[in-house]
Amino acid sequence: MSKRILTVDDSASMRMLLRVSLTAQGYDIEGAEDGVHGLARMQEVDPDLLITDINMPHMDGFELIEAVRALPRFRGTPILVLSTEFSEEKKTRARSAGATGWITKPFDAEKLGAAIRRVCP
Amino acid sequence: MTQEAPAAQDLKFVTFSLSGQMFGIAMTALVEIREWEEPTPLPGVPSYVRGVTNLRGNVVPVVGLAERLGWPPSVTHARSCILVVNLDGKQAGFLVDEMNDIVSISTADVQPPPALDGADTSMIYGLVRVFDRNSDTGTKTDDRGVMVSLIDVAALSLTRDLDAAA
Amino acid sequence: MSNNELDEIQAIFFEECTEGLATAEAGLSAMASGDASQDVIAGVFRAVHSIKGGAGAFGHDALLAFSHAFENVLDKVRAGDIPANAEIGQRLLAAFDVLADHVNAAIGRCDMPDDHQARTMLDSLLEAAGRDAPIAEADRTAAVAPEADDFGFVPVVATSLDFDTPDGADPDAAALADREADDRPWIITFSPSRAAMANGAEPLLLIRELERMGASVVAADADTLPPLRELDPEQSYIGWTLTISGAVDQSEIEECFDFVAPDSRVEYRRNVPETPDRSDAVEADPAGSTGLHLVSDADPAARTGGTSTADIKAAETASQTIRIDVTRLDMLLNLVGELVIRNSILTDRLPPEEHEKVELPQLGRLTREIQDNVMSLRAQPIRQAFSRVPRIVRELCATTEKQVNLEVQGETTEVDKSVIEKIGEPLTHMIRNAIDHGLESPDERAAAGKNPIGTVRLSAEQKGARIVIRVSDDGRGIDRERVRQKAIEKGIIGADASLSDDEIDNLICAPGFSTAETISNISGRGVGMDVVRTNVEALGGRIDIFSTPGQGTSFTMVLPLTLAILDGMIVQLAGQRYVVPLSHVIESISPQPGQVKALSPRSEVIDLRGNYVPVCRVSDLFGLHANDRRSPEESLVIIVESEIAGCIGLMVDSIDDRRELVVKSLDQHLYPISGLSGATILGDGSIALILDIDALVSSAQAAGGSKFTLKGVAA
Repeated sequence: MSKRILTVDDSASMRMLLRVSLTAQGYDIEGAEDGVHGLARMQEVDPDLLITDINMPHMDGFELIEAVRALPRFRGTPILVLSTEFSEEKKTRARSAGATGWITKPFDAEKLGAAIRRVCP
Repeated sequence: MTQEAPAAQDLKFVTFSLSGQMFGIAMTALVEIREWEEPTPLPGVPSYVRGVTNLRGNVVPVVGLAERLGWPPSVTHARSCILVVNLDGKQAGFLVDEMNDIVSISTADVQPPPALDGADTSMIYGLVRVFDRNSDTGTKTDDRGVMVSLIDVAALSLTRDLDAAA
Repeated sequence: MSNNELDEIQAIFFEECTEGLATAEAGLSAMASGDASQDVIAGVFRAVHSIKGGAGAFGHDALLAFSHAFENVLDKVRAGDIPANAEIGQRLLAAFDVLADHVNAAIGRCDMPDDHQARTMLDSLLEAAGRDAPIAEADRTAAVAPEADDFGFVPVVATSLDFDTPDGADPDAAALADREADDRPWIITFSPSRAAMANGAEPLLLIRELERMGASVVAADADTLPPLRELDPEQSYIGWTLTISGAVDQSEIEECFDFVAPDSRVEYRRNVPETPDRSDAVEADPAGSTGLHLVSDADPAARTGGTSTADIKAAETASQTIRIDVTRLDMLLNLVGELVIRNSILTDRLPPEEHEKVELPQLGRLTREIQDNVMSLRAQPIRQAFSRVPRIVRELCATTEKQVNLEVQGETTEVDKSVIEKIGEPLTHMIRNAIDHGLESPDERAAAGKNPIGTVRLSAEQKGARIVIRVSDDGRGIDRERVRQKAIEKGIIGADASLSDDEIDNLICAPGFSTAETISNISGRGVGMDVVRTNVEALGGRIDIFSTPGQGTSFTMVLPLTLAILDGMIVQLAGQRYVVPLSHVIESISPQPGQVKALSPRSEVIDLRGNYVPVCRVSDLFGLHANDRRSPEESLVIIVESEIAGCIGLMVDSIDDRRELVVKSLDQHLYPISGLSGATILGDGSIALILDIDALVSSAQAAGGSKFTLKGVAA
């Protein structure tokens, strides 16, 4: 069975880009448009991987990750953070929130795939 | 590939009579043929727009084709019918006196209409001779066939500018 | 990814840009009027941030660069380093306009804008903020780097990444070049921290990734493995040593370890020489790694607040979008319209006692709900069309040196999508007209005792089955003498024509009359009001002008809600059926003998409780020559009210019915016809024409208005 990935991004085009790139690589993609929806979708979808944007209304990516990690069933679910830049400060922040890794936007499909394989068997 | 002169194509036309003359319209433009039904008259339109009718939920204008071509208006009778034609996405019905036939015409046989003094031939794009298969249509047929005027469908479009000028 | 897919996603991105620009503009406008909350600023930041993200993804470099600069400034505003005051708001609005141009250039609607000035302004804002703020971003990172944060982590630092090393050591360029040419195999030692499996990480995957790159594990170090009973399966105890071909680039290896937990030990070196270079090792202090998941279970519950999962689910369902061809929606809407009508016909046909049965009201309610839902699919707030206006006003203020206060009302009025798409240009033109021609210069206004700041009002409201959009100004009003002269020059009217004020005002919309070149200095706009009128009429609408010298002018667009369902009264007249929209009907009267009086052979009035209201026979207005010209006593008079021209009575033969009807536009297959707002198909399949009451009343008054005045007769 193919792996399920939940992508959380407030931009529909970014979600589409992820969906198209990742579907082509054999993943099942679900989407949500902000942290609040992302958290709800997490529990419905029970994905193998969560990819989330940081800057989102209502509940940002860091808050989402912390909330997801606080749920025992998602303690071990890999989480990648998407952002346009990653200073060391930001990487640290992501990690302390509970992120497994990060992807810099814009991404190319190959790098994206490699990053996913690095955290998701 | 060898270079060829434009190949003559066979095109299907539906022929009908109007004021005793034979006309043809390309089958590709034809949407359907309906029995004549008095349309709902419209205010403030040229007299050849006879009104609008309900065509499967669409409100479609009905035009007296005879008047549109400059002939006296058709008198409707039992065999009168409406040719529904697609005009660049819009539909319009055209009242004709009688349906005749569907014929195959080779483009090579089509002649341009002669320029005649005072005759508006702008809506006729060509003339062609057709040998009638059924001779009881009331039009004169001899062994030289019958002359059919092919109507330029694009010229039938209804626009307000045109009507304002009319 | 196919180009098609990419284009499609890009189209969505452009839609998002448009939405984002609207959010940003609204937020910055609030800031410019000194009223921006933290939430609003965050919204502006997010909007620009998203535009930047997409610009990068779709390769719009100029847009990316500009939005990046803009975002940096907004970030400072958000952080409070740049004050969110009116002055900054004004400057950011100027930058916003350039951003909007960049978006349009990316879409291909215009050329690339010259953003030099705006960039300089943004940079100077950023620079000023940098001076004021104690530590700039980069410095702050560097200052923090060697210290452990609250969670006890120290950032992973590697020289190959694009930032300064903490100790300031420059990577040796020569050594770097040397390494690149090197093909000695790499030896990699990787000892994940105990907590390497935290955050869902799996060190084994790194080993696999290295193996895919050609690495092989040469040794596993299990020395730190504790006795079984002490073993925590969620911790990592084993270290590996791998070798990989020297042809593999160092950066590729580094990339593999990108996500590795901070206190893991990673070393990679060429197998000879043996001395590990400090710059080749990635390591971090093994500081308290186990604190990572001390986030309490109660926390997320607090975050989500009272929102139940069901609510979230519902919102999620609603927010997912699919794209549908509008023609398919139209088809659905038509079918639903038919359903509504069949439902009302069914109700009519059943005896009244059946009406109370449960099924019928239920069917009616369901039908209504389907209809509302389908209608709402196409309806969008007119805000989208209005959103361009503030910018146009700003630009015109700059070019004309006039001061304008723009008041907008009714932005949430919902209009059919097609209307929104098509009113943009007429609207722009009317706004330009109002500012350029309507408003006086501040000096002139002051001299006339007016507020030097002119007011332009833009409003939208729904009136029955029509949308009324009005642009009004408090300027000088139409210079009728000048308009008249110009119309004579252009040959539109004869030199001796006697025209009413209204007629002169309407000359502005006459074909060939463009005041743009002569009356104003904003020339070269190309089109005149005649084009506006044509556009509005193409939508099945109409434009009305009302002007008072010295006090201002208003242009009113009256547009149909296309594809709307209308409550209508079906009337008989000379054998034909017509629909009078109920929203215009005040009452219907069976005239008593003598109640309708002829003023002239062609004009009649009805005595309505002492008021005289003009009566017109629809057959006369339409030039239908009814064979039987009925006496008023055999007819009915329907008193209708027009928004613009007051009341008249329409004389008809009889009233057939009253029901809901689907409006079919005449221009779908023909063109708009004056006096009609469309047609409808009745239950028996025949067509009834829908009367455009506003237009009929206007033309009735134009025909009869000069012969009598209503008040004069009534007095």
